[in-house]
Amino acid sequence: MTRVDRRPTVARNFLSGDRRSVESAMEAWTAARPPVTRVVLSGAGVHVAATALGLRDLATLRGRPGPFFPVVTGLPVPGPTAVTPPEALARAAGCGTAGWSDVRPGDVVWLVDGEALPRGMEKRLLELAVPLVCTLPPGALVPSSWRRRRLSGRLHVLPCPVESAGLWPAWEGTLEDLAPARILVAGRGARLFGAAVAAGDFFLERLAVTLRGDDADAVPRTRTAVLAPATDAPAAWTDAAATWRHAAVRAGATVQAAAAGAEPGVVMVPEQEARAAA
Amino acid sequence: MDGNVMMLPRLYRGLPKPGHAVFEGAVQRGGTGGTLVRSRSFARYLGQECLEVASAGVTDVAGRLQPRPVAVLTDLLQHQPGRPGGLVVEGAGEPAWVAATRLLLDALEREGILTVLPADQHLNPDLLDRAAETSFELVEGMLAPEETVRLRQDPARLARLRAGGRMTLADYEAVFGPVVDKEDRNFVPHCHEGVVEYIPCVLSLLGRQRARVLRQAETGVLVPSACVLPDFKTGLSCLSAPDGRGLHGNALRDVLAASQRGLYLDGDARPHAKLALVGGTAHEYSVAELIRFLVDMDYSVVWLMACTGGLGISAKLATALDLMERYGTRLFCTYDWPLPEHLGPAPAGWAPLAAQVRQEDDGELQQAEQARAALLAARKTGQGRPLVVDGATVGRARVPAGRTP
Repeated sequence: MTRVDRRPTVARNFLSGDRRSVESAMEAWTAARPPVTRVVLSGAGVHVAATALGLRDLATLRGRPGPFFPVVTGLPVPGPTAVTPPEALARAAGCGTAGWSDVRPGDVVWLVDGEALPRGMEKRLLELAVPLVCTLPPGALVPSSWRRRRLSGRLHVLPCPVESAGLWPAWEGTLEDLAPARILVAGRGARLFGAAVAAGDFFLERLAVTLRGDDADAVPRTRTAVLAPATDAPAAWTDAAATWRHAAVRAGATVQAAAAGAEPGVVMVPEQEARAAA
Repeated sequence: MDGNVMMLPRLYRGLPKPGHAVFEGAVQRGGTGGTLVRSRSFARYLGQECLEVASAGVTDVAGRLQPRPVAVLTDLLQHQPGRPGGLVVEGAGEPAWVAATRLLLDALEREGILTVLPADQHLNPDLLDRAAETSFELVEGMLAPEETVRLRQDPARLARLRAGGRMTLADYEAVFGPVVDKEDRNFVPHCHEGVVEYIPCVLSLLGRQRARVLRQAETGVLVPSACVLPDFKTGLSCLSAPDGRGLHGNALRDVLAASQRGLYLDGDARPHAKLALVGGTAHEYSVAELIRFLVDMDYSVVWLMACTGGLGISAKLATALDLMERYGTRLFCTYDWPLPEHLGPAPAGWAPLAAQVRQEDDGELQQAEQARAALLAARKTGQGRPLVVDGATVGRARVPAGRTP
């Protein structure tokens, strides 16, 4: 069976960078004999966790009732030192952190599932003089406090059924039209990790060149940030490794311990059922 | 843009084949079943970028639920004398087909028929940001001599570009000349974005639809639904191609796919179930392209000739013959009020308007066909260009006047 390696892209969620390769691999593996029993993801923590989300989201977008295959991820074990959840999110997604005073013209604030933020936090967000993009689960009701601003065209409210927003054209098109210099991620809940990765991948995917190493890392670090005072991330996110593990488990993947500091990128290896002895 | 993607792998393992109901439809029980479609045109006219496009729906006809048609009326754009506007005049001196179109739009709105209004919105050079970065870098060996001369007139620009990095749009225009829309090159400047506007009756229709959309938004609906949809196109074809990431193309195909959900459209028992009503302007170009596209999308098309205008380049009936020769099994050309079971009875005033358009079209046919025969005999176009050229002419055309190859 052919494994799927990262093509020359630096998008951390493999599917943001190369959805077609993954889709075609899944189609081939679905028909494989002996059957594929599981897919193993290995590589850098952010790539592995984000790609696990991408696989789950791809199945959702294809209308599948469940994932294509059981997924096993190799991820490092959380360390003993804990940081705040927004800081853990920023470290896990490779982005920076920002406060209210860091918001500047050219930024776009992306509010993820923020329909139940504390009133003071929400008021502050709605008063920002930069475009605000709010994604909500499909079918959610738009909060009454958002409606006036939405009608003015300064607040873009979108349904987003997936965490890998780069797979969702309505999100990508909205951001593309807004042409942000930076994306500041805010909001609440477990969908923040996929969002923060998607924000960085948005910029990485628009580079004319393929950056590597520190140059690649610098793009999400400088062009995306977690707007910490408006971010209510899960308490279980105590460091980057804990955030990756949490995301992978939410994506339905099994997590196995792996050494930290793996090479950037991700490798997807299909494991097939052992052939019965003749 | 489709938020409800079907399970393609179970049906077919090759490439997706657009246009086939079996791949793009799905009958749903319960739920609204709408599809999210996003277009910047929606924001401009309806106040929201993302809208839910529902199925075309069904009409109870003699006890059986029959799929309703969709309507696609192209380029209903107001002509503005002396400006790069559209081709349609509504108001004083309007042609009969425009008055007939107004009656049709009234019926479509009253019956809630899904209506798409593609319209040219060509590139407007005035809107370009000259400081924006292009994807081009300087490769001096590829420049024509006059481009090199222009570049050397600005040593600072030359030095900066030689140092590497991408050209700004200002750099690009300094070397290659102004960026113009392809249709400005091919035809004449018209329909520039931000200049051209729909005819007044369409604007009124969109205004009422906008009010409905905003009422839904005011109540907190995440994705309001609409059944009158403006859309842009950038060429003769109604299907502006999306870019490499699937973004920024027009929404017509997504809307058509969305309209098919929840319906049975295949099978011998329901010939022509997937039906589109077509009108607009101009029959020589956009309307003909639209019909070709819809037939390729596996639609049967009812071409409402009484609701179609032209440029006078050729006869509408000649266009009809051209299309019928190709798509005769899927195309119905008519001056009548069609499908009263879906559109309601023909409105008062329709018959005389349709008769007038028909008379004009009959008159146009003889004159246009004589001119066409003469041009064909002379192997010339209406602009005096030779119809057929030799190979050397192609090569010469690529060399600017005054320069040897």
